Amino acid sequence: MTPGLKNSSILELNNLEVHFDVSDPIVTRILSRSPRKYVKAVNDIDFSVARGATFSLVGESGCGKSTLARCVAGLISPTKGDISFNGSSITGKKARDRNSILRRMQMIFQDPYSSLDPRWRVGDIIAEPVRSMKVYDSRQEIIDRVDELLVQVGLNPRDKNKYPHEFSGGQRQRISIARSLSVAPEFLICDEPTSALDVSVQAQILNLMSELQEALDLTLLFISHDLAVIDHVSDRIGVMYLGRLCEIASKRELFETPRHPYTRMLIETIPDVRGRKRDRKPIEGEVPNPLDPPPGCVFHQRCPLANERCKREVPVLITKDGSQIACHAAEEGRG
Amino acid sequence: MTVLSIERLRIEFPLRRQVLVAVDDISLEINAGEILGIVGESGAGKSLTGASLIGLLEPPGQVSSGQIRLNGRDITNLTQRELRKIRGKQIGAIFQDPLTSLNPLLTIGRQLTETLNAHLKLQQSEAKERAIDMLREVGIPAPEQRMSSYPHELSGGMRQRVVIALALCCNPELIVADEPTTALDVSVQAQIILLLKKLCLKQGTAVMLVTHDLGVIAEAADRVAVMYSGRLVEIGPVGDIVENPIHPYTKGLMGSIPVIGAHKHRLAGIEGAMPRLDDRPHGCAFHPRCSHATELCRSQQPKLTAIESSERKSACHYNDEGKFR
Amino acid sequence: MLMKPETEVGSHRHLLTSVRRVLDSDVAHSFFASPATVLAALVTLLFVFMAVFAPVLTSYTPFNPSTLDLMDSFIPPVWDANGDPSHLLGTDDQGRDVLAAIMYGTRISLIVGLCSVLLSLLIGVPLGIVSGYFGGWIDSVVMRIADIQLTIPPILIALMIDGVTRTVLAGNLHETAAIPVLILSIGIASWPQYARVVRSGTLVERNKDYIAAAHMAQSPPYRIMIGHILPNVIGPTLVIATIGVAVAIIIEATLSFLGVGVPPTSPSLGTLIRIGNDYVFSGEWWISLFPCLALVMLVLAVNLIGDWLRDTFNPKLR
Repeated sequence: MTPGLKNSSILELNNLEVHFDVSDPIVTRILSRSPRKYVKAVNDIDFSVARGATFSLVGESGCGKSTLARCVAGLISPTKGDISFNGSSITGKKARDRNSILRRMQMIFQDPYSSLDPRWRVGDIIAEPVRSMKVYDSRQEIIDRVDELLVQVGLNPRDKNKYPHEFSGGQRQRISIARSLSVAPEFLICDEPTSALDVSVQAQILNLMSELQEALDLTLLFISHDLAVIDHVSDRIGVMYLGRLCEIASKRELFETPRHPYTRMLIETIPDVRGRKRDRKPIEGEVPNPLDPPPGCVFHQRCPLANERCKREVPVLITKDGSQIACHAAEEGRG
Repeated sequence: MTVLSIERLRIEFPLRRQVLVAVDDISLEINAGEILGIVGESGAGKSLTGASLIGLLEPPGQVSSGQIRLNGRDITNLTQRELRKIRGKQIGAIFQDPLTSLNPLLTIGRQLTETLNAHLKLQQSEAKERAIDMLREVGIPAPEQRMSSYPHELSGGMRQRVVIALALCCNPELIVADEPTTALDVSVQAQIILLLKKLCLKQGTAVMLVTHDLGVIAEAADRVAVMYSGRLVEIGPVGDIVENPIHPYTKGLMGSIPVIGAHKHRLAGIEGAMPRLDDRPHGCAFHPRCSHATELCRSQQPKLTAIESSERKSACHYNDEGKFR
Repeated sequence: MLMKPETEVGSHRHLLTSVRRVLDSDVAHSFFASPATVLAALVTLLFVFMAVFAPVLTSYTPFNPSTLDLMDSFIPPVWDANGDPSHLLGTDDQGRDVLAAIMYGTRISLIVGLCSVLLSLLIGVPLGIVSGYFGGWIDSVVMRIADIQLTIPPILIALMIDGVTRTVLAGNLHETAAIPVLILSIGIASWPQYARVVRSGTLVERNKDYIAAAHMAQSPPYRIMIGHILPNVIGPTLVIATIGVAVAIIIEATLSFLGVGVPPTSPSLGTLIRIGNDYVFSGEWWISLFPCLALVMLVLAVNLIGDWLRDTFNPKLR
């Protein structure tokens, strides 16, 4: 908004950590003498998102990317670290102070079936944010805004009197997008917005989102497990594995010269329509249990480049040639 | 050699007010050692087609006409008892969620040996030996120890390997795999696809691979059948379909997929959505979404016809016109 | 103004189509496909009709002792040789017409049944939503209280509350306050089951993304609980409440039978059964039998409707 802030980063994450307490109930714990247990869902996350761009987080299920998105949205409190939005810290804000943040930051969810209240009419669903945040003074303004939004996302103003079950998955996701845009935010968190949709519908939604981004000057934090979708929408990409960032790079760099062994593995093994590579060797092993992550680099058990250092020491994110990478092998030039 | 042949299969759901036709006029064949991929969006009828082969259609769904032949034998409307003899022995099944296919109360060794005992009448020691061989074959480390593990002690990928071992242990002629990789992590998907491919080729098993993931199909299948709103719209070798689709729907589908490195501003996509079962348009079911649709498309349903000088078939009135190619 | 006639026509047509839609719906179909449910609904309707229109249907006023004549006592039902056509089901020891007493008694049974379930819902639903939504210590406290209360039979709790009010209120006052006290005791005795159902529903709904979206919309907790969670969890709860009405009627009858419920001057079905119970072995079986039959039919009918509702709207609860 402020002219001086143009081209600077809109969102900054510093040393963010989210741990979940998954301990047994206290009585069980005392009886079986088991210690408290934590899932370290997100660890040491540092990145910033440039205004007007799309920053994506990619990773397999359970890597913490959705937790991170919800943490940025304020739905989960971080255990440690700081999130700053438009230059000021937003962690630990009281509900009243969040009003001004949520006017500028909204979220789209993965499942279009559970993200719309089945008992509410579409118009009320879309108007919920503007009503709760008291954006408009009169009812008519709200109705006009809802109509405008419905047209903007490719639906009909008459649809506002229907219930969610009368719509297909793709249309529901349009409703969800309309709701998130109702307060005219500048920053949109998109948590796997197309992964519950069929491909032909996914294409429609991705097109709609890029149109809206252009028209409304939106900054997107985009979460997905689908590399092709990520490649289509992103400017800059962060790759996550087991709660940690392993690489942050621009789209071109990431896909053309992936540096982290995990990024390489992802790009190499994901089934892709055009790249029908017939004789390739998928990487062995599976993602370890986040309750009991391996010591050192979390990827070392599956990494072809792992050595003794990787088993002991956790690599930190270092900047190298404009991209950031957390890998001992790349740091030592072994990759 | 043709293992499975389906002729004019039609699956109906008789409801109180109307009969919903979920699958209509599907004809296809699968040869030994071949993987036929069936793709389509949710609700296209691909999973029902797979389920009808193994007699797992949920009531009131039923095969109302057509024929399913396994190695020449008609298995269309077998009783549950006869089906049980076939399932596991001649037709193996792999489902999306490995946990639903495995009994949580029995060790994986017990489940494997019981299947072997039931279908192949092996001795206990022979069955155990073969079970361990199977586990080794599907890439489970230390199979002797794993025999006494329970399903919940294994990771998702390992469980799906066990399911594959269970499906393949009796040397079935046909495997029906319904979304076998959808519930798995992406880095594990490739492992499972490769494993399935390798083993089926080795044993000469025919595979029907049902999935919505075109990437998986491109990677694993030899031939692809594309379904739309209960019908086959195009069938042919995977390379042809992926690189040079003929039917407008297949084209749209391929255009919808973002491709790494393509950096297109917009995806081609298809407008609209697949019609509901009770709201199918007249003529070609795809015509409301098709930019080439004519009066003929609105009034007459196109037949699946062979494309000249290729192994392909497509169900479009304008198959032969160059402008679509 | 120009729009007005059109909207009226529109709403009229709308009403017609919705009526048609209801009659053609799967719910209506499943209702008419189950003869037991249709019969149960008819029986329930009959009882409700009897209870509501009792003063019109009968000229007797069984609750007014001054209209009773001891000369009329112990008249057998009309088909007996000693029967009297003006007393179809005979009379009791006070000369009260049994049929009229059943009508008025049903009235009290239904009022107590419905009101006490309403009270249970009023206590249980908010507590269930709050403890499910907030979790933590609130949840622990509420649910432990519910657990403790569930270990004591509802009748015992109702007896206790009734006993306390009996000693607190003076004799006369207690008599007039008997019905509210009954409603209070049965209502308090059975809230935990509603709280539990609502809480488990809330736990499911709370984790759905539309609640996260409501948080992103800055909707305050009370509005999320009332606007989002309540409408989504209330369905199964109301289904259970239907069966709860039958249970409450039984508890009321039991308490009245034990003599701690409704006083004999304004007898409910349970009181009538107790009065008749003294005469079963001396040959006046009708005083007890007909109220018994009425109670069994009413409870069975309400239960059948409840079962059907549960099976139709929430097969998973079975």
